[in-house]
Amino acid sequence: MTQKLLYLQNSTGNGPVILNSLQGFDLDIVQQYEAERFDWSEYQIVMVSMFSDQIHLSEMSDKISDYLDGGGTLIINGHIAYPFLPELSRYEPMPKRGLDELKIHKEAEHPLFEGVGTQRLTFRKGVSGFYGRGTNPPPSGAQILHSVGPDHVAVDWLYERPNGGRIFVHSGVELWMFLVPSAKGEASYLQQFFDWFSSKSEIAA
Amino acid sequence: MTVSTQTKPIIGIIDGGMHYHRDSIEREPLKQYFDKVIYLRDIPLHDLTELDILIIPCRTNAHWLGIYAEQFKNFMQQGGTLVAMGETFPNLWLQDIGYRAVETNFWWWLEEGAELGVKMSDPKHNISDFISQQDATYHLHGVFTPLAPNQKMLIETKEGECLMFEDVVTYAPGKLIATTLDPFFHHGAFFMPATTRFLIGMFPWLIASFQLTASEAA
Repeated sequence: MTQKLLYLQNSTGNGPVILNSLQGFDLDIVQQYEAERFDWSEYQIVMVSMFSDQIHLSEMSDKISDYLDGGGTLIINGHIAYPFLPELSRYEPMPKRGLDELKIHKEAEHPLFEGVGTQRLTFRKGVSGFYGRGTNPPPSGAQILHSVGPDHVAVDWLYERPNGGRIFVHSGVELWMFLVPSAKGEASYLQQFFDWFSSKSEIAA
Repeated sequence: MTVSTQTKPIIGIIDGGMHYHRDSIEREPLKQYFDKVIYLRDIPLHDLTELDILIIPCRTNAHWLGIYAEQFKNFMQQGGTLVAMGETFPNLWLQDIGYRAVETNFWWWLEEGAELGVKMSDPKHNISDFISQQDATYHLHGVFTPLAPNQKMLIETKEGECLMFEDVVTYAPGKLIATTLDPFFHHGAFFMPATTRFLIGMFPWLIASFQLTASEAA
């Protein structure tokens, strides 16, 4: 059955059309300020971008929590500047200490990132620092999947909420660009990433 | 009446709720410059003419800026300086601004002997006392083209297309400054030192330009 994805956009332009390539998913891209108007309960996954208006998300906090209570999945990209859910804390940048600071570490094996090497996440065309340079601090009980730097601060984490639903956080730019190939011959991990959430969804397709 | 040439302008900035806005606005080195922070959707609740300079930081949602276009024009016509930063697309909400997106060359600097070729358009213009060619050199998103006669080019590409202009005529006595460079986005995401240097130069330039105009008017 086709699963429904909701992407909250906060800019002009077409949005992350790359997600249209996913098999078995139907993507709705909606301007963020319009999102309050309608029911999210039929969406298996809701995504907020690094460009989101987090003041507005804070105003919608109850709606987002209600969606999660109903078994929804929320994927967050970007730094948290206004913690818009009780589970979130403000982003902490790392002091700049050179290349070691930018090294991405795998903290746990997880089907979401199966086969994705940390070299691919640390370096992009030989340059490091794109994937993550600090942390959106995770709540207690979250599973940390990737960290960065000598202090291993959490970049990617997954939190199964006691009240239902789950939150995935990537403390950096839009994750999709790292899951699709950046050079010829590289594998794509985009489908695998979304398929895992799909397999866990408590919302009927 | 004598007008002090050293009057500090009152500077406001829009917060679009993006993380790179809050982290630019609330942290040094830029925090010191902002007298007033206005949330994007609260703009109609504010009298913008209380400000001398209003910054619209990079990537503020242009659909929503369009709603307030008349308020921005009025602000300039009352003497204010409006600064529209990269990816705020003033071509969508003000008249007579030409724009063309360019393919962003994120990796220009990896090539041997690479030179992006960004230039300060007029070395004699006072912006060159505050922002260097190096501070303005990072990847490009678009150019303002064609330029209207009142739009004086400040920074340009290797090919001579406009990356930043000022217009002191169309909305006189106020002015419009627009750029396609998006330093707030990168600076506020703690990335790319050139973008921080650009902003560290831009604010003293805006203040000096305000004081120059005030002294000329006196």
